[in-house]
Parts: sequence; structure tokens; C-alpha cells
Amino acid sequence: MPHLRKLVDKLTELVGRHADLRFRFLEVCGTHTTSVVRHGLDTVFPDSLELISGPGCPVCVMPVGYIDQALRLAGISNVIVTTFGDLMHVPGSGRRTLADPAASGRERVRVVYSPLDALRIAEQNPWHEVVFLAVGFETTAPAVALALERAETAHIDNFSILPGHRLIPPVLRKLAQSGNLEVDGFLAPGHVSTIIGMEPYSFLPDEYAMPVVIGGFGPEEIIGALLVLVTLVVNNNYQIINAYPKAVNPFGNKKALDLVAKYFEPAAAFWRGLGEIEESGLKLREQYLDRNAAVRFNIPFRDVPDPAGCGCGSVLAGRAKPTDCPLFGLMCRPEHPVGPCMVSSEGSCAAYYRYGKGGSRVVPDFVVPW
Amino acid sequence: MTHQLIERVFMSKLGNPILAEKDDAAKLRDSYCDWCFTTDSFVVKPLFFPGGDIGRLAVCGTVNDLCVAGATPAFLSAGFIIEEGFETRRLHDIVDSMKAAALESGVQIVAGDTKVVERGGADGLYINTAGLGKIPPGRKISANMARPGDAIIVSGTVGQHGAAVMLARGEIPFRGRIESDVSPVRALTSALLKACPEIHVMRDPTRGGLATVLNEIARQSGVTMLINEQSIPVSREVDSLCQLLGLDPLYLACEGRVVVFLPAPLASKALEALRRLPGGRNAALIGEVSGRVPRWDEDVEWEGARGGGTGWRGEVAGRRGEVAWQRGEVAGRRGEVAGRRGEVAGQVELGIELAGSVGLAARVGQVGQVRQVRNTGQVGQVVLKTTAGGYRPLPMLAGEPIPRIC
Repeated sequence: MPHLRKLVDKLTELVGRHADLRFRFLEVCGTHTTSVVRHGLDTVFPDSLELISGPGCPVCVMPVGYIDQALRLAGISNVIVTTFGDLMHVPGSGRRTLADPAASGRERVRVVYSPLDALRIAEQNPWHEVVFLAVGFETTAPAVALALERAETAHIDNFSILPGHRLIPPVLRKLAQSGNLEVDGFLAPGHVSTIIGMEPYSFLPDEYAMPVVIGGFGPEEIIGALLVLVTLVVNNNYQIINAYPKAVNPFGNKKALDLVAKYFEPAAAFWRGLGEIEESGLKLREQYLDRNAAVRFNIPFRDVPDPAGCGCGSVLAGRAKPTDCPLFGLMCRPEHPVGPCMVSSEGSCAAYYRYGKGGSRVVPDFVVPW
Repeated sequence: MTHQLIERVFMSKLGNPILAEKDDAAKLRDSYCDWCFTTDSFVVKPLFFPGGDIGRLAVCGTVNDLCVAGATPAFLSAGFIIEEGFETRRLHDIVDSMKAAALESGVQIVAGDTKVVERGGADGLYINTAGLGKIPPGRKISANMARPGDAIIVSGTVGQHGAAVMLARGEIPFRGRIESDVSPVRALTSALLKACPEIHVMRDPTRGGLATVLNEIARQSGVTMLINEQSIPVSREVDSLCQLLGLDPLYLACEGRVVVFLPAPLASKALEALRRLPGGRNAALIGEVSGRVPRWDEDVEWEGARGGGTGWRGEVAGRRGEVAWQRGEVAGRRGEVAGRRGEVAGQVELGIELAGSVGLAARVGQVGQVRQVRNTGQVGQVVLKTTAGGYRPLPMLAGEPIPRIC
């Protein structure tokens, strides 16, 4: 991809023209983090350009209390818990996970690829209660709402969800407010933006003088978005730019938003490492409250402290790099993770660990023939 | 996981000089002829997938293991474990495709066994095959033969089989059809050996894909290699599936491809030979062996005040990949730190300072008696030059890749 190399050169040249400036950007989404290290972009970026990963990994931001709820649900005899694969290995209290044999007996926990698969399991097992662990951001909320809609119309009453959806704009507001986040701009997540559009980010340039660029996930798209961000910063131009127009409509996906609004309303929610944030989660509306597994089985959420020493909270808040965590690569590895950031395929710690960011930069000491 | 299981359970208990070579097939030397022997079990789900089925896979898998050892496959055995109630019609289809695959690869199935287990005791059907092949005298192809200066060639697009099977399970919402590449590589390997008999290593990148096989070769030969991501052939369908799910095609299995290491001057000759064949049209030069890393060949088990543990001798002071970069001095001292059997691993703490990296801190305080030191092989590293021109290690992954949520 010679095109990609040209883009890299262009970025280096642009950053080089402003040698006195330092550029620190928050990449909100975990998929951005993974893509950056997977394509080795961090090794080709100029030194004065730094990317910090943010709270954009849906599994990572779920507090320990949520995992405990899921574990307790899996312990009820006629309940089948369905979940995305990533959540299976996230430790709850006492480092128990859904993948533990005790929890994941033959029928109890099943991995699905979509909420509709969970609904299908509910249809096929009318004598069981099927609970879907509804974790995700704005991107996956419409699919859950669709599953609920089908469950309602087809009267599949043995289907419920454990609401765990989190919303991106409120957490960005919280980060911007906190004041100790030293960044010059935001690389906003492409997938989330396909649903919500551009408007929900407008408070960042308006109230906090931060440029926002919505970027895709391929290496070209990320570098393209960074080029725009650097240009905005250099010109003190605070606005929102959509650098992912092939997928993101400026006004979002109204149909999806309406469907979500029919079943859910924003509510305060707990985030790992960030505590409770106003209006940052989705709860089921009053008339669908029975679809909430926590209500149906009377398993309320309890706020439990994060595992001792775990740095996931600071990593998610953009305050630390994964390698700053004292447990990184030692106590906490993908085979025996302490925190969720080491589990999820979108977790920054997992990405850093897998792609060898254990401190030393990987640059070969031999002549490169290409 | 499997890798650790092999090292810590099977190699330690069943180890012998032939097994210790850790190649796809064992070489049995006799006074008048060299034989090559291998076995493999097949538990693929679903049993039928686009491009093949478990029967074709069972024949090709074993035949290919013989071919990449440089042998001419001759005889196969087949063992079937069948769940009670398995449809006879499907069994017919599977055995028919075994027959076709055996014909295609020029082998005879000369021994067999059938066991029926009760319902629920097996998931449909499992097949085990074992194979015998002949190696011409003097041929030395082995995963520990990679040498600095070798060119690395792959015979075709990677990841097709893994992607095809994943799709055939029907769990992923992806429109499009991907055919498995399952086929015997006999034509490819014999053409290669005819064109360049000096080949150092041949492997078929099955489970764990290209990335895993390269890592295994790097470890067994104790070398560092540099792979150019841009030149790795990946079909468009596999590429878009991987982008959609956040997977890496380099970790998806192939069942009809060969990875070849040979002296760089012969690379163009080998590529020419491969590209002339239908299964090798997309053959490409993907990288080179760039250097040698120090031997790291002891696995240390220790017992201390705060519990015990196991680790590589090289790893005790750091993670495996890192060792390769620190090279000589640090690596050398790390080894000492871990100690030999019966010695006190008392200087572990010193190791942290030497390494100056994250590796050891967790093991501070695990100072204690070294119980056992085992030979386990060597450590090497694979570095990937990405399409963006950056560098990163191409690691060995533990566990199955998980598709992302958003």
C-alpha cells in the first residue's frame, strides 16, 4: 500500500512543520487503539504526536458489580446466560469469570454473536429463562432494542436482558470536565457515530475548545483523521469534522435512535475507574421493566471496588498507558487477566501486550530489504 | 495453550530424541531406508464446509505433514470414532471424499479401525489418521534448520480454511462464501524439492495459521525473522471478513499451503516452480530470516517462600519476545539468574535490574530452590513490517481469536 506510506509521510511532514508543538489526542474507541498498534502506526508516527486510549471498550468499562450480577444470574438453575465472547473472561469479585466451569455448565452460559441469536435460544428453550448481557455502546443498543421488539411482538416472555449499555458523549464530557486530561483533541469513534451522528459531540468544541474528528478504523482512515486533527489544532480551529463520511451520516441513524428510545432512556450509570456518571447509561423504560433481568430475578447492582492494583480505571480515563500499570504483563496477562482491559479484543492492555509494547520499542537492528 | 500442554505434559513425560525434534512428522532412520511417520486427529465442526469435509481434511492433513517433512507419502491408516445414530448416508459421503483425496495424493489407506460410542459420547464423528512416507537418503528438512539469510515463501493465500469453517458454523452474520483451501500439497512440495533440493524448512500452516508456524520455526531454529505484511497473499473475501470481525488472517488455519525457508538466491527459482502449479499461483516471497538469537533452552521450575512457578529460563527475567531484542549480555545474565537444578535461584531480584524491564518484578520474592531444569528448545522472534511501514512483533496467540463487539 504505497498510498498508506504517502499518508504517513504527509503526517510526519505536517507535524514536523510545527516542531514547537506537541500533539496529544484521545482515541476514544478501543478499535482505534488496536488498529494503531496492529498496524505499527505508533512506530511510524513522529515523536511529538501521541495517542492516548480512552474509555471506548464496552467490556472494559463495565464495573465489577455488573460481572457479579451476571455470575449470580448464571447460578440460577433454569437460567441460560447469553453473552458476547469478550465478557466470558472478565473477572468479577474473587476473580471468578463466566468461563469458569462452575458458571459455564453445559447449558448455563452461551456465547452469541448478536442479541437476535439470544432471542432464538429463548424461542428454542421455552422452559428456560434466557438472559442477554446487553453490554455495548450506542452501536449495539439498536440490535438489543430490535431483539426486545421481536420478543414483545412474538410474546417471547422468557427473554430478558441485563442492561449494561453505556453512552459515549456523557463520558467524554466527564473526561473533559475533570481537567486532568491533557489532550489537544478527540479522535471520535466511527461506529458509534454512525448511530448518533455529529451533533452530540458539539459540546466539546463549544464548551471545552477541543477539536473532534470522527475517524474510521483502517490505517488510512486513522491517519487521514489525524491529519485533519493536527490541522485543526494548528489553526486553533475548534469544530467537529466527519472524516468517515462513507459510514457516518452527520445526523446519525434516526431509525435506530428511535428504536432505542422506544425501549430505553438515559440514566446514571457506573463506569469502571470513573464512578457514576449522569445520563451515561441506558435503562429500560418503565413499561418494559420486566425485561430487566436484575428486576426479574431480584439481583440488584452493587458497587464493588476494582481489583487491588488494577490500573484499568486510569487507562480508561486516559490518565495512564497500559504499560504504566504495575500489574501489566506480570500479574495481569491475557491468560490470567486481572482487569477487563487485558481481556477484550478492544482492550488497550490486551493490544499493548499482544503487540509487544512492553516498554522497549520494536525496531529491528538489521537492514530492511523493502 | 496447546503449546504449553505439549511442552509441560507430553514432552516431559514421553520425550525421546525423535519426538524432541518436534517436526510435523517423525523421521525413522533405518540402515537401508528412511521412513517418516505422523498422526493427526480431526474434530472439525461442522463436518461439511465449503470446499471440503472432515474426510478430505483427515487425508490431506496427514499427507501434508508427510510432504512438508520432505517425504513421499505412501500409506495411511484411518480410525473412526462415531456417535451412535450418526447417519450412514453422511458417513458414505465422508468416506467417498477420503477416497478421492487419497487418490489425488497418491496414497493408499491400508489399516483402519471403527468404534461406535453412545449418543453424547462424541460430537458426530471424529477421525484419526496416521501416515507413513519415504524420505530419500540425505534429505534434511526440519523446523530447526532455518538459517540467517533464508528467504521465506508461502505457496498461496492464507486463512481460507479457518475463515471457511468459521463461516460454515453459521454463527457469524456475513454474506459471502469462502471456500476452504483443503487439498494435498504433494504436487507443490515435490515440484519445490525438484527445483531446489537445498530447502531448509517446509511447514504447513494449519492450526494457529501462518503467524503461529513462523513463531514455532523461529523458536526451534533460534532465529529472528522479518515478515513483510504487504506481500502476504490474502484473498479479498478473507480480508473483508477479518476486517469486519477484527480478526487477523495470519492466525487463521490453512490446509493446502506450504511455508518454505530456503537460501535467498534460490527464492526466484522456487517461486517460479510454485507458480506453474494450480495450487501455487499466488505464491509469494513474504520475508527473510534476519538473525540468530542466543539459545534459550531451559525450562525452570522453582519453589520459594511465596509459592512456586514455572517459566522459561529466558523468560524468568522477561517475556519471551523481549529476550530476543536484548540480545547477548542481558540475555546471558538472565539465564544465570534462574539457576540450575538444585541451585538456589537467589539472584532473581538482581535479574530485574539487569533486565531493566517489566518482566521479573512479579517474581520478586519467589526466591527459592530450583526444582527442575528441562530442555525445551530455543526462543526466537518474528517481527512484522506492517503495511504502514511500522514494526511490531508477530506474537504467538494463546486461545481462539474472539470477534469484537462494536
